[in-house]
Amino acid sequence: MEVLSLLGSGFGTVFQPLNLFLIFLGSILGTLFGALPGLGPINGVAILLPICYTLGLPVESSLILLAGIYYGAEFGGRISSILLNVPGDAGAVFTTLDGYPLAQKGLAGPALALSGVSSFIGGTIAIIGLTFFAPILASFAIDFGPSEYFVLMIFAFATVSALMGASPVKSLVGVAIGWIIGIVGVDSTTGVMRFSFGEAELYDGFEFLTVIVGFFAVSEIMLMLEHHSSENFEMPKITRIYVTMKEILYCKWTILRSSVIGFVVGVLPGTGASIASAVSYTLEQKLVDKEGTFGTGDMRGLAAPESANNACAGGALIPMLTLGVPGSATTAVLLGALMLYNINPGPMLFVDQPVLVWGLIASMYVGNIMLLVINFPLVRVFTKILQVPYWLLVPSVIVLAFVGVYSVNASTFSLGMATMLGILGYFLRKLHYPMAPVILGFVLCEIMEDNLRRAFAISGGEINIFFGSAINLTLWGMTLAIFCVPMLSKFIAKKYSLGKKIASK
Amino acid sequence: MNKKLQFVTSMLAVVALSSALNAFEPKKPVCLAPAKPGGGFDLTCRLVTNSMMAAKLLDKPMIVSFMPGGVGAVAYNHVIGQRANDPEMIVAASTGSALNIAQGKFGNHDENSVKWLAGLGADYGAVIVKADAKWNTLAEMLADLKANPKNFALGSGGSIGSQDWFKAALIAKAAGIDPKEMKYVAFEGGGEALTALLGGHIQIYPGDIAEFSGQYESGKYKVLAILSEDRLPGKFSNLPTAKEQGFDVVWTIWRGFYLAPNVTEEQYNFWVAKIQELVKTPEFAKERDLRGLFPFTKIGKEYDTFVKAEVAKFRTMAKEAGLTK
Amino acid sequence: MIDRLFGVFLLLLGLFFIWGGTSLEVPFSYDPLGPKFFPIAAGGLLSLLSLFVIAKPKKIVFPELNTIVKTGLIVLLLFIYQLTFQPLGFILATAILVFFMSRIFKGTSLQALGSAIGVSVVVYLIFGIALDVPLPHGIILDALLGAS
Repeated sequence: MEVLSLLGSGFGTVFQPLNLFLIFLGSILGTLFGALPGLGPINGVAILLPICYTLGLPVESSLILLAGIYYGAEFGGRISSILLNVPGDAGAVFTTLDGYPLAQKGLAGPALALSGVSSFIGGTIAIIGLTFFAPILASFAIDFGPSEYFVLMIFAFATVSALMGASPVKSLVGVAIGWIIGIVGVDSTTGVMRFSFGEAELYDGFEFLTVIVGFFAVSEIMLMLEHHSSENFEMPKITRIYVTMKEILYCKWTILRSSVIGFVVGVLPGTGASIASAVSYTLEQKLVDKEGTFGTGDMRGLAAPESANNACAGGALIPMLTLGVPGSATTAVLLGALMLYNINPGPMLFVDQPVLVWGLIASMYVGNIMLLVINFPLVRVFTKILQVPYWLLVPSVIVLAFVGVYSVNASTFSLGMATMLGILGYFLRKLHYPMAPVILGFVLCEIMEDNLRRAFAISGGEINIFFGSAINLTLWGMTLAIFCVPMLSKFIAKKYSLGKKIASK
Repeated sequence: MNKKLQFVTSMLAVVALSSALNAFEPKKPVCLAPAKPGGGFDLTCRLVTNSMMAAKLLDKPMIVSFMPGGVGAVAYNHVIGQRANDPEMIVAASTGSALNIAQGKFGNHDENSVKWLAGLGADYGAVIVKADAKWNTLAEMLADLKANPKNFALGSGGSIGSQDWFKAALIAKAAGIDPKEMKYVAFEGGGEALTALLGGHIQIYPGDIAEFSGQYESGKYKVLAILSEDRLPGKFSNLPTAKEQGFDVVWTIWRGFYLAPNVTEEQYNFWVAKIQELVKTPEFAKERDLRGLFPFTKIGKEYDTFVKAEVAKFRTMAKEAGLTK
Repeated sequence: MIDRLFGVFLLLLGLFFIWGGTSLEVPFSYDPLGPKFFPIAAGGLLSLLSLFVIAKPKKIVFPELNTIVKTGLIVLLLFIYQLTFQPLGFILATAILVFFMSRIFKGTSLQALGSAIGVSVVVYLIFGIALDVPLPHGIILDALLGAS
């Protein structure tokens, strides 16, 4: 099989000493970023990206490191969730529901170990899926013309607004703000400047790195001040650090189901780990929680979100690598990394950059095993690191982030921009506007606008072009389905509970 | 005449060099690429830094630093505004920079705001279609385009007013169509446009031949014409020019350098002499071929005159196309 | 209240983009939408949504005054950092930033001083020297070194 030989060559890239070291480094740093309260995969990738760039690492090595941080953070997010009841990021919220009660029962060690195993299985299933599905999707990605890309964007934003968060209004505001930030700079179709106020620094729009650092490093630090002042954690004792086979087998179907769900949710553009873990947790609760033990320290309630969010990380790479469309906010940052290296992600990535693509995929197999292996002995170390003093951590993070921003174009203008965007980010987050739509809006805005206008340029203003091809019709169908499924499931749930009530009478 | 000029300039260079040797010598020579790493300006800088190093022409290694933004606008403003006296730095420029200057996209600064040093390599436009396209010559394609301008989309990697668009506009003109009436699709870089060509979303890709050379052997595309004065050497020698097919369309993408506006005559001459020495070395020719660039050498005053003529030409073209008033 | 105020800010931002969009002029365009459409659409969406926020604001718990002042101080420090980065040079500007940041996050003077020296020097050695990032030396160091 061609896929296997390509994967083999990918392993050839991975087993170079530098890359092996970077996987190791990425796994450890990722786990750390995931574990530190308030920092998650996006912050990790955002802070490390400028450093990779200034280090002058080759692109495949950078991406291997950054991807390591990405899935490492999904892995590490569980540590603070289980031990401190503080989710490292939005994707880890569901991990706290059963993880923390388990820790309170004195089962912190087994809970950590079980979540490690579920994360490993979820991650591995997703990578296998990525290995085999991505080339298939890539093979007909060439048929994606401007109109198809535009409809795909419609689908992506439909998923964002239909599935995202408690407040759809605030999610959509996030999208609109992302668009507005994305619009600034030269219009790539007509060459006219938009909202750049004569500042040469803004001709190309906001630098991706500046936006990411502003939204995720600067605003994070402003928010940390509050965590910090209300911080007084009691660390539960860790006794047994392994998990028994019996406990794993008890959760096996939950893990497998959640892995598949996480993967599928990850592939959908516009979603992310938070949705994957929410969907899998809710589903498992409906399917297996007959005694109502979910939420009181049920191992299955811990396994479900953990396998799902790791599987999601793998799935989200598929649209990014094949179509150049990120499936989640974190993959949007990875996509930004590619663009920083002047690589245009898109249909030809698999053809033009086989070393990059297959090196990355192979590195994820290795990284997952590494994570599993290092996590057992290092659990105690990680819990120690949770206690790094903020007075050292915070200034270091901000200085590293700012050096990265400065190094892109050696201009202090970007530093000021990052601070301004940090203020905006602070208010957005403080007022419960979800940030993922903002980043997706910012990254996808250009793809959406350019392709809409390209499609019109090709069709000469005819709107039919958006309904012409089989791909377009499929995408419209999926968009419709995204809106209908929640309504339908609500309807069914209502009927079901009604039926139950009648039966109980 | 030309020989004479060369003699004079090289004599001048020798004089300048000898005086420069005991006067100006950069301590930390820098090539400023006004873009992100990996792009055309990076390539331009590497051409000089690598061959300078290989030929051992500078005592200190020359490093490449980057300043992306507005196709060079940020760097142009930065050099004029903040580093006007810096003699250690050469800055990469290209046809695209001249076009932007001509359209006033570099702010208040024009082509007289910096000191033009040398042009060291060139790429040429090319008309590229899919391998299974029905056309085999430029004439066939242009005839079809003329008959049904609305049936064929031209797509390339730049916005209206960019060098990619100008190539498309010149092709449209050659077919006898107003550039405003053609179907033009602006992509994000040549790679995206090529993909769209392969997917059948556009039909004609006016690209650059050196940039395309990686794909040339893939057999997926067909080159209808090269937009150079004469046939190109090497593997492209069997590709006909537009000129020999009877269409006077020539598009050169030259790559060169400028210096900060307030460098002294002595410092300017130092660099001129260095470059003159450089282009004679085999290392330079090797590095140039490695980057797929074609010979194009204009140094010192000759380059300065050339760039100013280019900008003037582009100014007229932009006005004709209705881009500027 | 703060939610509503921010809603007003969003409304103004949206209106600004609508206004800015309508005033964009291009000689010609190959698509019927042109560069105006998206700014107007995004601005329109934002101002429309902001009306919902203004109409139905949520109660937001803001931290105590002390923390707010400190948050403001962080912002101020970062702007000072931007302004001092070139003239003071990387090491000095960074040391000042790190010292005060460290103090804000409850480091003792000694801890803050240690972080300030440690972070600025280590980062300068790694990025400025080893990786050749052109970090500015600042006027003082330049004068001392006598660099041109």
